[in-house]
Amino acid sequence: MEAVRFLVRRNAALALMVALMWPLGALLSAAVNPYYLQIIVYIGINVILAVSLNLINGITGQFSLGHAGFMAIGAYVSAAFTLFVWPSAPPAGLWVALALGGLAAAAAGLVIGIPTLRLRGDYLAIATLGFGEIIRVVIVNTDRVGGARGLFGIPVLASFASVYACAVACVVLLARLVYSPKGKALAAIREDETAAAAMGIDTTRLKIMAFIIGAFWAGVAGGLFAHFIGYIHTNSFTFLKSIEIVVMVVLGGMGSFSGAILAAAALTILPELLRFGAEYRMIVYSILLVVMMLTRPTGLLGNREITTWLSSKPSTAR
Amino acid sequence: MALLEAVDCSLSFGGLKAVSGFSLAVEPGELVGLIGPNGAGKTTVFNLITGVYRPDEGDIRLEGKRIAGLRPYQINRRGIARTFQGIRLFANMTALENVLVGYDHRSDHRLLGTVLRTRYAERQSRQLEADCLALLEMVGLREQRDTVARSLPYGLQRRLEIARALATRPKLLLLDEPAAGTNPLEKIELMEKIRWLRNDLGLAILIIEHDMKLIMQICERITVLDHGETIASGRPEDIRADPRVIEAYLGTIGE
Amino acid sequence: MDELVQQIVNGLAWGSIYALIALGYTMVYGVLRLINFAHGDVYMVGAMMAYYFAHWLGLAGTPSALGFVLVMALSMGTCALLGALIEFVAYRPLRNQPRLSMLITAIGVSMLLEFGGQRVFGPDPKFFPQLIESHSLLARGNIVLTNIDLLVIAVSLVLMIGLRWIVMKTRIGMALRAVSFSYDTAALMGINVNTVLTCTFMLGSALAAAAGTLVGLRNPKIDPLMGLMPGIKAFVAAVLGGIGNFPGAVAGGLLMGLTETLVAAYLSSTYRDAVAFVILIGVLLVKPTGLLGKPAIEKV
Repeated sequence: MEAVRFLVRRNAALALMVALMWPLGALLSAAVNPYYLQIIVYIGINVILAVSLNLINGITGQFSLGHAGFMAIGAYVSAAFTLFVWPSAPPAGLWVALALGGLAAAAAGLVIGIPTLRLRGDYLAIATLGFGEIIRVVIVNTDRVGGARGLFGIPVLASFASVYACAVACVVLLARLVYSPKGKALAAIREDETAAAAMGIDTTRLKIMAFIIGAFWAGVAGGLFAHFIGYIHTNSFTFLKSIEIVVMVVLGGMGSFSGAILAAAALTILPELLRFGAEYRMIVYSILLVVMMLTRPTGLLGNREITTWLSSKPSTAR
Repeated sequence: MALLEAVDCSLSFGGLKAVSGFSLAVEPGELVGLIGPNGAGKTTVFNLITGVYRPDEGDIRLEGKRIAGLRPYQINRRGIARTFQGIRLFANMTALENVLVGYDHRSDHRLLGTVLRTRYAERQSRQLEADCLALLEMVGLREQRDTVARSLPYGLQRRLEIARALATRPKLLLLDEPAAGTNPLEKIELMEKIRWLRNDLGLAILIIEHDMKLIMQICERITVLDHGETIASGRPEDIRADPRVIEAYLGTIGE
Repeated sequence: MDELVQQIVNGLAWGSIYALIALGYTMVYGVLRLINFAHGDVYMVGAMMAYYFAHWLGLAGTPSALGFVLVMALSMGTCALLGALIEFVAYRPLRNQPRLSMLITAIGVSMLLEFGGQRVFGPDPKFFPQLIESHSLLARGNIVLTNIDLLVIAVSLVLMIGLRWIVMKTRIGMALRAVSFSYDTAALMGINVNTVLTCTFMLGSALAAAAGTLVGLRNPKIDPLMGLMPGIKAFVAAVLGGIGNFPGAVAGGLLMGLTETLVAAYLSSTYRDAVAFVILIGVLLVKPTGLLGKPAIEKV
């Protein structure tokens, strides 16, 4: 029993933060213009995507270009659940849908991860890109979930509160993982996979684990996305979306949580600021990407967190 | 029974036979040297023993059980650790983190416990840190625990690599050119350290080195490789006088 | 049976296009170990440039073989310069960075070309002028083989032979092979790696431009995003044949074209694009070094 009380105490802060999202959400919907609120919700979804990809790309060093594919699976599976399996679900049904979407994405992560994580660098990138596209092509050809027309009428069960509750949980849980010895092992794989293996780390198993966890959260993000907008189409989950998420991770600094969060926020707001031409947005995007790689390839925060950056201890960095 | 036994191992890369008919036995607690001119295949032998390569022919056994064909992490978990010829530390991680990575796999960390912060997981975590600090202390790096590995001076990096290897609690330690780039004073410290590792920790040690003096002074037995083949094996004084060894290093008289 | 012949010719025509583009990928990968994501978009620029040159030179209305060759040559020249520019501005500064940085930059350049292209060329498809009059060489039932199909295959072949000559018989070609084999050694031997890189990009881009021009001739609808799919497919073709391997790129390209066309014709046309990815996954899982590639051994 003492163990349970310990557990509760340790997680009290997290539970509190999560619970706060509901009153905060109510406050915001009363005080803030719905258009801005929508952007804020998008930021939340992108944060989950960026942070989960950061685990795969930034921490473990596996360059995955197929994250949008996991998001798509999460979106479509969760939507199929609330539309076809349990159409009369109460708001709490969202959580079941999200769990299913996340688990489906995780399963896909396992299936894709096992063969592809044997590959190195560029080959891995291309393989994940390929899988992401295969997922998309399969969905587009599945008329049961709307196929090329898209899927309409998804019950709008998600809101600021549910999105940010998930975002907070995602960030905290992943941070705990990354700062634990297991997380150090993941970073070791990124630093030098051969040496890591020589030190007894089952690199394949850990890489797959990171992949599955990252995929799970991408699936959750997809489910939230589907249940916030009410309509999904595979055009939202193309290679381009995968690239957008990669840009967030790289811009923020691969391996940095706070970096990924900041970048996700910045890159969600940026296109809204550039509303005057959708074409310009993508051009600015691509120039930003090239310039950033040329000038500061380690991203805004490198692989440090905003706390170490602010206190600037020169010889310590994670 | 010998701790490590390699029997008649061969490995080819395409048409090139890197190692041929290699045999070696290392007893528990023994200090063995592996020498030979550059390109003789010494690191390849290390790679064979640690599972980076699989021998085309021959067998390798640890404590009587076959390890040839196992993956590197499996072989490490059975008790063989190594350092690398060009230091391969986790450059962007601190000294403590480097050691932690080597130490951790032995503790039974459960993912869920870590993430949910169970009391058990927290306790494990504290113990882990304490043990790793002790390892750093052993190589004299306790002060540098939070320094990023990349920023450490070369000599300290070498020491850290050894600490990291020790963290995996091996029975056999493979040192690949540990004295490379060290000055005479550091060499003496290194020799003492190696003897200490064997005497106090009971490790068997297999060393690749080019520094003859060092090898002759600490090793009990030496095997000499040239072009992938064993040309001599025995006690230091015998090797020193062996004409084949001299020829391999210096060429025949009259050339 | 006749239909099969038609499809095979189609497949070979597309295959030749993929082969030309794949050669560019394989050359760049050979010297830089970089997947030049922007390459498919250079192909698009090639098609666009050919279109504009044809109009500026007033050749659009009057089909002529000479006009076609001129337009193609101009397009190849322009794209060669573009390729060299991209290498100089976007890849060269990152030579000493981890390869991931170059990969991301390549993605950025690709996007820039695509979206920039939409801005500069306009997003709507254009109609490539008919620079060579289409004659059907063989017409039986539903089957039509035109001279254009054969032209595509023939011109591609000529260009590929030309490339082989350059790579095998000239000094710069030898330098290119040396750099592919070992970057550092080549540099130490006094080879000006920068020159080699520039030439590599120029050659690859020129071939891509030729491919774009030929495609414009055969499938006249061109648009700024036309490089996306062929680029990916040509890359897969290069991987299939063994990335870094010239004959492999050609073999891979032809195989890709044939497989894709036959699958689309006989199995399902909606899954046409998926064929490339399935092949990709298959190759990477079974033999990542490709049909003709040699495994690279990492020194531990």
